[in-house]
Amino acid sequence: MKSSRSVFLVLLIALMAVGTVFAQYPTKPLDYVLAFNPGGESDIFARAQQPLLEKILGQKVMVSYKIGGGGAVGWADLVKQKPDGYTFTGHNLPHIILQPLTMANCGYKTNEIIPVYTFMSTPNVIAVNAKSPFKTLDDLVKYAKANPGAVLIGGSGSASANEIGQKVFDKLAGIKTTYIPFTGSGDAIPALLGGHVSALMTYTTMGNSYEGEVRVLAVAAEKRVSSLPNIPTFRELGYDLVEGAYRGAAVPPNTPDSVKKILAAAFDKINRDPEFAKKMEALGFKLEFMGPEESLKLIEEKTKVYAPLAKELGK
Amino acid sequence: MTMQIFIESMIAIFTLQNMILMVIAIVLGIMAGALPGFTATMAVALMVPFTFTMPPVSGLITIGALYCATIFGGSFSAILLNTPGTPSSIGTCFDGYPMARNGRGKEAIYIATIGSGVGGIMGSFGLLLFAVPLARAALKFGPPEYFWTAIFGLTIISSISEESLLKGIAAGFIGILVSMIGIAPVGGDMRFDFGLVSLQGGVEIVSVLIGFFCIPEIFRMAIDPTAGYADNDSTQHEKGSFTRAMGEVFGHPWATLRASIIGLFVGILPGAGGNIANLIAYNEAKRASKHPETFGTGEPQGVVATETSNNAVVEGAMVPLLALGIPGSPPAAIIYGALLLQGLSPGPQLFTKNASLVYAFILSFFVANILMTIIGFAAGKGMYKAIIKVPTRVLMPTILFLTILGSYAIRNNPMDVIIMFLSGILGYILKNLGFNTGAFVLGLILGPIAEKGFVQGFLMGNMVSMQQPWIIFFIRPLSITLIAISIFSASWPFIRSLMRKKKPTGIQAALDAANSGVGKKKINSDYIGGAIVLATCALFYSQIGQWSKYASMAPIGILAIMVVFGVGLLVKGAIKPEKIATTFDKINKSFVFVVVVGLLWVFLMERIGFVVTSLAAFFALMYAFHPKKGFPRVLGSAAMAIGVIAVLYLTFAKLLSVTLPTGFLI
Repeated sequence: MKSSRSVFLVLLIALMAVGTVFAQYPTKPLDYVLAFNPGGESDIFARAQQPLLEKILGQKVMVSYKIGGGGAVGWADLVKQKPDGYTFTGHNLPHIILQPLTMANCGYKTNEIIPVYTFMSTPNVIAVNAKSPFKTLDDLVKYAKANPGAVLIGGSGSASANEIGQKVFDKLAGIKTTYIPFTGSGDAIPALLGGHVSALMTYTTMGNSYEGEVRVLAVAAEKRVSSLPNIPTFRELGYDLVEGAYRGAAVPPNTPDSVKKILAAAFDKINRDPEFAKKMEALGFKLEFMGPEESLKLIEEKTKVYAPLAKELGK
Repeated sequence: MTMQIFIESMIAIFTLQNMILMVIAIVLGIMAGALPGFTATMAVALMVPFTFTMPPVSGLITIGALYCATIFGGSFSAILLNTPGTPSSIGTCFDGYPMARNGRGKEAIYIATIGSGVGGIMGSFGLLLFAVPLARAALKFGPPEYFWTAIFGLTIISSISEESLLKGIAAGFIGILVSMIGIAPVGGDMRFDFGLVSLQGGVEIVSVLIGFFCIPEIFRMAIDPTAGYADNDSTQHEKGSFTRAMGEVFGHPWATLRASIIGLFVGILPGAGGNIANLIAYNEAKRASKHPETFGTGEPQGVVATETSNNAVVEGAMVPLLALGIPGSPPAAIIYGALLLQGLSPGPQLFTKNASLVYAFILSFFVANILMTIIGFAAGKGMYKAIIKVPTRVLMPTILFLTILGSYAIRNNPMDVIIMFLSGILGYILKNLGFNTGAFVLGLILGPIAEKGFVQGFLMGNMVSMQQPWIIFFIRPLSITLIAISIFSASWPFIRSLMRKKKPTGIQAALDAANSGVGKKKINSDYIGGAIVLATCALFYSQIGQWSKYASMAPIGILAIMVVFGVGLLVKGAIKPEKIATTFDKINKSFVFVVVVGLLWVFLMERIGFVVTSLAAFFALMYAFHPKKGFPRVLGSAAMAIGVIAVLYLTFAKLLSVTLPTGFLI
């Protein structure tokens, strides 16, 4: 009975095809791409998320690196990937806003990076060497006023949260300091510890990792951060500076909403895991809980703030 | 470290689980290091997730052993294939490969094994006894010091290009220019990307290394596919290899000690990257040698220097990591992340809060190095036998396949593969014109370090003088010391030739000797060289855009100096030309065939798909070079192609999770 057998076969294949279409994402391993060097903030956070992601999504999650261009290489690559949710890349604010504004051709446009979740931020801090004569932020400001350009403030990257923090602080305090870009927070720290720069505009995580070697003078957050409870905020000291890097995960344009929802839910659940939260906050990370829509709104807000500043950067 | 902590640490290391983990890590590390394109950083990054389920001590010991073994493993492909398996084995190619071609490959491998073990143990002593003072010393290096350290590294060019200093310097500068492709370290401007998005990440040095060092050898094999591996019969040299190797390492204790110290010191500098240690050690060994002209022709002391120093770098990189929480190398940065996630805080507190863990980690390096040496003997013997026995027509496509796979695996960028092959063609041309490829590589590695140090230092100069910031480069004591060392190093060849009244012969003589049967046509290499330099300048100059002040400083300076050297070469070509007999007239059909297949392979890989292009290319090469033709050969070649590619594909794609390019087929 050839015809019924072939009908049966066709039905079977059709069912399988239909089945794969409706099979719940994800059905194969996922690629979590990082645009920055191993050992950095993005890496540490991603590695901590990895085992939990695997448990929640039920598939293997491979952390891989696409480094270069201060993140541009990784993001330029992301927008070329298939929008099926099997590749997502860690994204950073303000980088993905500033790079297209300041670089002639960085390989992507800000609105091509589709965030699914913004899971943490690291507010800027201004830190000096523990042996530095600057005991308070005021000391630094006084010295800078008397010696324009002589106060060296190091930070991670050009056109980055650190550099914006330094430029805005200069304006608010009416001083002129010199920004020295390093290729990452890990690259800047030895310069501070060795006394080659006067201060660093860096992230809260550095303040925690190098306790005892550095003195944090202020935090650029709205409220004091739990990992550095004794450090005043810039606002408390009279400077309206709230700045830092926001990090999350993003997918290429035209990724289906259903996929974005699943990824967002996974990241959200991880952030709400008490053990995870405790560990990461102790390291200096501030957890954020922004889903796809809120992340987009954050990008829009920050773009309004950064666009006018972009022209001054790197000059 | 008290006796109690010592005993606790030893007990922690010598558990059955940890010993087994160490052995597995070492075996994997040697394999990973031997694969060109697979770096220590990648190996460590892949291993870290597996260690999360282990107790912290086991995890650290495993990663440490893996790191040591990977650096050691790089020597195998350097010696056997003239391809540094990891960038820290670049110098091993200079003498290790000539030794292999001379039939002394086994001795070279044994030297690399013993040297690596000894270097590692010396480094471990440094880590154990002097971690804190060494770390403090490392902190004294700020941007100006890194600039002068890079300059010191560049002075090595004067020593390795004795026969044509002009060309060597020009090659070095071309290397620096190429290293500037990508984002400027200061200013963030995108430079020299020639409008291609795939160049925005810069040129990946590992793919250039593979191209420069390995591809010309593949071309050599292509010219005569029936030739055997070594130029001489190797069996007569094999007896006594082990004894000779022991003699080279232990019979010259000061040389070995010097190389270890160089490795340790370079390792402790976070901004230096450990890759230059082997080159500095090589240069110092050559400087101290009574017969420096043998370096580059198969001088065992060259291999001793490079392999001893690069393994000492591993422990050196741990110094600032454990003492201050600052990783001294990219793999150390990964270890840093792993430590943080285990809840450990690298830095001074680690020694007090988790003393037994830290000391167990440090002491495990001693054990790992000893195990590595033992396993290395077995692995080396096996690998050597395998390479020697495989016919060239199978070896050549396999190596080519590995180079393509390896250069892709670095960062999943198909452009890296294209660059790898194009560098190969360029390297072949340059070598024949008397340009030293080592000089180019030095420029490529040191360019970013020098530029970063220069521009950051210049900005720092505001602290000293707003009007003349450059003063800062000349007033700091450490900088002054480095300047003095650099001047000495740069002028050494002249000093020595004055002392000895003997003309240095150097690498060119070695090249001539190695190129048995050189062609008769000689060309004016200075004219051609000068033309290439000026053409490169023009090309790069045309790409200069509206960059920030800090991003333009270095490129413009470099281009200006290069123009001077280009013109100098042309002038020399007119006055006292260096006429070189090249191997260009040996280019035959098989050579062209390999070049064409290679080009098609790398350019079509992304469009058609990795597996299909590789199968086709592999098959084509194997079949074309088989002396017998006909249908059975077709099947045989096809089977071989499928077999080799399947094994390597599975290893990389599945085991190591490298996503290979899939075009419209797989």
